[in-house]
Amino acid sequence: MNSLEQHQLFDCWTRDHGAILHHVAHGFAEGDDRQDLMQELLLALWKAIPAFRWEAQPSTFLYRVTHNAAMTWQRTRRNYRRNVEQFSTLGPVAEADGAAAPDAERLEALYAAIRELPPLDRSLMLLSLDGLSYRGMAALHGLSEGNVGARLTRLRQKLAITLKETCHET
Amino acid sequence: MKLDDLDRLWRSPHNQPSAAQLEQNNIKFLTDLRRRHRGTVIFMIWILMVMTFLTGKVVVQLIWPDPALDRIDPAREWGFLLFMALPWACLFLFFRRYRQHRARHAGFAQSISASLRALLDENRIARERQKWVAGLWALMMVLMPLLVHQLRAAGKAGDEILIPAFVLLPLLMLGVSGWMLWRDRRVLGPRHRHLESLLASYDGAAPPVGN
Repeated sequence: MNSLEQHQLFDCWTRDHGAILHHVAHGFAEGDDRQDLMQELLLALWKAIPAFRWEAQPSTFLYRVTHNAAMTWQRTRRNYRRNVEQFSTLGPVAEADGAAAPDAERLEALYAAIRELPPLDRSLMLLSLDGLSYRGMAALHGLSEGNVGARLTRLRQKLAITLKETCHET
Repeated sequence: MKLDDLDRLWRSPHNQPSAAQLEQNNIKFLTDLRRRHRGTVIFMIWILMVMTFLTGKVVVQLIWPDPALDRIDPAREWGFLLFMALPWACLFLFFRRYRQHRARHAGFAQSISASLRALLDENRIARERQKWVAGLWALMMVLMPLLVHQLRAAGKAGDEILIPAFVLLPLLMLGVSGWMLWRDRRVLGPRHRHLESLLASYDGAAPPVGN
């Protein structure tokens, strides 16, 4: 794969599957750290593209690369400072309008609850919300389908309790 | 919030990035990528140029000795040749270790857990590499008195070599060793623990047959 093809795939995937990157960045980081993680996800994707062989769906490939990068990402103070400096000048890109604000708040509460989970569970929950099958998740993580099912049942219960508590508090 | 609402909420426009946001991310990423790439290339070229220049000079002098200059006599100046060969031997070992790692984790793309195992191994190699460099420098410092003695005995160096050999070079090595120690404690060590804990979270989960 040459550099031009790598560029084309990168542009195409980040445009068509931007939601995957968005969900992972929000599920694994908060505030200004999201920009840091987003850059790490893009870098991981960029580096991984030459290894893509068209044997799998691009979305499956993206899930593997981005979830792997997010799970191994560690926030550093230097990165944090750099991102605060870089992004403080840009301002918010997509502001929620007033009528839809409750949805945005609920979504933020959901992401906050997901971020409370350990990294592997966090990844499974995000994949599940994105609609991946148990088989897909099992293959992606190298787990058994039964294990994924058992973990997700427990996770959904845990998430329901956390969200219930959050809603009661607000 | 009920779990049934999650799906609707998850697919709501609020959970989708805007085109402007994606564009902004890509622009920033590509700018950063070019900067990183340029930095890496310059660093690698610089290291290789210095090593090649110094080694090349010695090799040329050995093969086609310039009558105007003092010829290198391997019998009397083997310490110098050994000193020059050590970094190359180390580089060769690093390369071999990297190839072994690549072969051992050829299936790293199969699953995230396989990737994590490959990353943990990569982390081990990086820490091991730092120990090798520290060992190499210790060996070079042990060789230094011999090297200086041989060069002085051959009349190729005088007292002016003492300060660079016994003060400046050890100071430089000490500085870089300090940086390596800091990197091991603050970067590689925590990453090692992080990867180990991630892999531990997969424990108790029987992998599917054939994986």
